[in-house]
Amino acid sequence: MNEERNNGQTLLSVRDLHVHYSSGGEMVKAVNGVSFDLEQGKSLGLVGETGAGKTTIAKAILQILPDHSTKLVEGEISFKGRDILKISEQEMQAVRGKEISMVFQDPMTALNPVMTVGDQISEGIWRHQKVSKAAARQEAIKMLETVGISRDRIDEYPHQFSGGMKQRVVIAIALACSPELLIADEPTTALDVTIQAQVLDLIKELKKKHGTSLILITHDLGVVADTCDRVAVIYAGEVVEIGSLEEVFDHPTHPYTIGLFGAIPDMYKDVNRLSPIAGLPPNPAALPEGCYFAPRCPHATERCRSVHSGLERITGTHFVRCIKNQQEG
Amino acid sequence: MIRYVGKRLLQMIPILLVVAILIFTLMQFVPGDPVQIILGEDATPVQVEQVREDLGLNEPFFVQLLNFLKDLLHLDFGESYLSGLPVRSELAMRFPNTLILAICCIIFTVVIGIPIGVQCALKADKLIDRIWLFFTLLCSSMPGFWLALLLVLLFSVELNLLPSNGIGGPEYFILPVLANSIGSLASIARHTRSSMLEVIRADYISTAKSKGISRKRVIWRHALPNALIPVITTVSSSFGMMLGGATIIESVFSIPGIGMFMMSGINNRDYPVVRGCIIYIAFAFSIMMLITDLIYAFVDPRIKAQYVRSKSKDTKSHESKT
Repeated sequence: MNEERNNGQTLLSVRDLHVHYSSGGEMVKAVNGVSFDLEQGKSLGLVGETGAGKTTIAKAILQILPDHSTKLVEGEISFKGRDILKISEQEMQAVRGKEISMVFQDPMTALNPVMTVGDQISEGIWRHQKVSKAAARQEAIKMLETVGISRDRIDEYPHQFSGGMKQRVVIAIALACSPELLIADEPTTALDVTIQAQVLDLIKELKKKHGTSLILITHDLGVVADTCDRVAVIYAGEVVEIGSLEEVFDHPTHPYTIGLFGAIPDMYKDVNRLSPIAGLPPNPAALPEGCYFAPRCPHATERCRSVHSGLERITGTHFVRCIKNQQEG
Repeated sequence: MIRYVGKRLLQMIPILLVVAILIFTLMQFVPGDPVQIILGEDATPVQVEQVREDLGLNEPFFVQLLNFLKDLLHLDFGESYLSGLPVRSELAMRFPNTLILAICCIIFTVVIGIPIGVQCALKADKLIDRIWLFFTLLCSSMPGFWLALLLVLLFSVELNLLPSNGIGGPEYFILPVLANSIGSLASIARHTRSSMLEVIRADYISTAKSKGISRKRVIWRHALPNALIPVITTVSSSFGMMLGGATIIESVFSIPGIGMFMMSGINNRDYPVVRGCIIYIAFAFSIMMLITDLIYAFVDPRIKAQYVRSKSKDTKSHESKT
């Protein structure tokens, strides 16, 4: 099975995805033309600040954006050659949980407080594998043990679990039907450091075992380096730089990416102060005209403020959205 | 759990005692003399004095209070001044009418009100939601007796479809139930809507959706039980109120229930009747609150854990070790 999945075929291809929300009468442009591909068995890291639109991209792929505020979802999300933005809700329900599933950011709130964890895990199995409730329960017990929780806790409620344990349960729910694609939305942000490592190891291990492809959303570059094959840097709802782990980490090109690396401590350099990126991300309800990063960019020119650059290739699979780079290249 | 219920039942004793003393004392200050009402306007002072003596109204306040409490310990509310019948049996006779009315009302309220609230939440800010919001606001601000009169005018006087008062077959209950529950129905619909709106934005609803289960199941299995937790309080306190007798509605429709009994007791300065009714209402309400808490524990495992914890300390400590 692993061999089948690791044959380098494109599993997911997102093209020119736009998502707009309405919030307090304003149109919030959360995602503005995001495109990326993910090959089978590979993992992609989506990196960016809070509010950059990473979670919205993930929810758009699963089509679980909040009904009441979502005003526009446009573009193409093709999963195994099928544009899942165009299929019916019914068909999408068969995809969710079975072929694509998601681990949410905050395990404290991601579990239904009035259902036992067993019921929450077996629900998806029962839905997708069309087995009896008893068989689904057996499967859920197996899943619980896979993520390292003892089987006699199956009938307990989420409040009886610690944060790290809850995240394991969330992972068990997500992986219950061995999906081909797992979207992990900041799976470790809400956990403390030792638990973070455990949860990441668990995800990596299960990914390897089941040949699952992974989209890992995070703002932690360390986590990306540890887990991902490719990296996409998201800023103000668009991809500003995308490439393989080596390409982006060894040759960060976009000023924002460079800024991100400047903001993390380096063990081998003797720096007194970290250099954070000055300023704040733009208000997605009123994006600037030219480059979205221009107001914070140390190298911005007049042209940057008026021309919105496209995503251009520099080398191999490494693309950057910056006019400076185009001029040089 | 049983220990908890027992504890709560014991706690009700002081509550009822305080209610009894309060109501007894308050009744002393109510203007009007029951003896005058019993005997009528042209009673002679001698007759009045005789009846006062017979009813024990000439005793000092504390002696009267102690006598009352002593009887109360035997669950004896005294005899009605007017009819001479024991208040307890009068209450027991009227209780079924009030109970039927209350049960019908609460079923009607819950079965109609909660689905309306859920639908509104799902269609939040759409036209249908706004219409319901307007309508429920109208209904919850309409006084029950006025609605009752309108209903009587329409269905009994104009259309001649339903009886306007008294009790008999089920048709006699339709108008009272409508009039009595529209207000609580509307407020429960509004409450369900707002609670549901909060819940459907919760992360665990996204988790549920991401499992690929149907929309219906997400709403009814995942969202509703969570949304209902705060609504339970509203429902059960309206039920408690209704069990205490819908005083005005029962009077409008001449239903011989607890509410009307108390009303006539107040009008006639029939102290034992008023006291009996009030203590019964306090009792009914306390029992309802206990049942509410038990329902909470049933619906929400986090609350249940609080009750059970004290009982099974050893298993808990075992769990925390593992």
